[in-house]
Amino acid sequence: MPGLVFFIDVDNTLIDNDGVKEDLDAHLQVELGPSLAARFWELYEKVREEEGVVDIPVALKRLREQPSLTELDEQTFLHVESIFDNYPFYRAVYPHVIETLEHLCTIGLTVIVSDGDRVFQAEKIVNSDLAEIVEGRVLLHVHKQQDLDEMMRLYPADHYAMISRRFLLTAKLLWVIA
Amino acid sequence: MGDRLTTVFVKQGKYAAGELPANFRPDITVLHIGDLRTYTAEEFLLKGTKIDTRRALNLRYHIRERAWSLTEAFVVRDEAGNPVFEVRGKFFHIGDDLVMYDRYTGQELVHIKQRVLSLLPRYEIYRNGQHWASMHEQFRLFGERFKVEGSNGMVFHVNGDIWRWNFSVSDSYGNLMAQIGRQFSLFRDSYAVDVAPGIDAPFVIALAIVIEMVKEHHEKKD
Repeated sequence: MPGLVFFIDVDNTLIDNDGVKEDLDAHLQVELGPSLAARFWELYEKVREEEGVVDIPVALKRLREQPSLTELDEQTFLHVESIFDNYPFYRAVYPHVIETLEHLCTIGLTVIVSDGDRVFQAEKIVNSDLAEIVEGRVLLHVHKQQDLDEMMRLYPADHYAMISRRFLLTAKLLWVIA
Repeated sequence: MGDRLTTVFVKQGKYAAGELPANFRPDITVLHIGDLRTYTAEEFLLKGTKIDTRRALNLRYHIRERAWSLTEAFVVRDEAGNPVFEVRGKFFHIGDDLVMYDRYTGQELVHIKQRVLSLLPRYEIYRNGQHWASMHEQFRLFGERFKVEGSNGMVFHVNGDIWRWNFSVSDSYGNLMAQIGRQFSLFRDSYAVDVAPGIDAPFVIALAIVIEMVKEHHEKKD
């Protein structure tokens, strides 16, 4: 059993997710115009509320369903999808993240934990090379109690370090570990 | 509870200035994820109020912004939030006059007086009753705005953006003595003074306070 396991969050911890969102918005403004772009972000928030996590594919699907074809033609929609599919996440990695993860690897076992959909969020973690640096130890969709139990079962350790700004998740983890 | 868990909070991005929930007290707080490169396994395992390891390199002090304008006495806190120095003064009377004391011993550390018969702000800094340095603002559009000259012939340089409150102090050999900035401070409405090892912290803190006062004098005029 490893002595020390690091659970490391992604958004705004390893990746500047607020910067990514701003950048995506700039692309959407060009591609969709202000009113449809605003519509997309509304759907994004609505889906997040419903599912408890960000789900880009569902938000895109709803965007596709709602406006009429004159408002959003197929070509434009494909462009929008492509913006999300091909986003260069490696550019949004915070400075010294790679060295930090490599360092943490030498003193413990690093595990990336992140919530979000399994398409876009997975793409983010792989495309940014983060998955490779932690040797593939990536857990997606961590926000429920059973997910925490699963985390502990998969990665038993004497001691855990949680590097996250999700207070609620951290608090729950404290509860589970205690 | 939670002896087996160390919580680590990275205070970067838009959360840098935000407040944590009242009941959330992370064991380790760093400004950037990259700061964790310097942490050892023992430091993650040892619990308690752990502090940025750069403390080992620099001493960090926190000063409330415009503290001197709110009251005639205020404290300078260390990284853990404990008051270490107390500043008492008369500000904006006939020239600023302030004294910084050691909170524990009550000893006077630095005395700063504004020289009033001077066109541009000019301050004299005294330590142990001896003239230590003088500091004045220069007519400069570009380059250094402040000149700090020690009685012993040393010249100190203030570089950076004073208006955005992010600058450094270095000696005439280019050695970085201190960094001053809001983004370093863990406390709200405060800025931090990071003092390099072996550097006279009260002196550097006094410099920061004077620069803040000069800045305020300007803003009042504008």
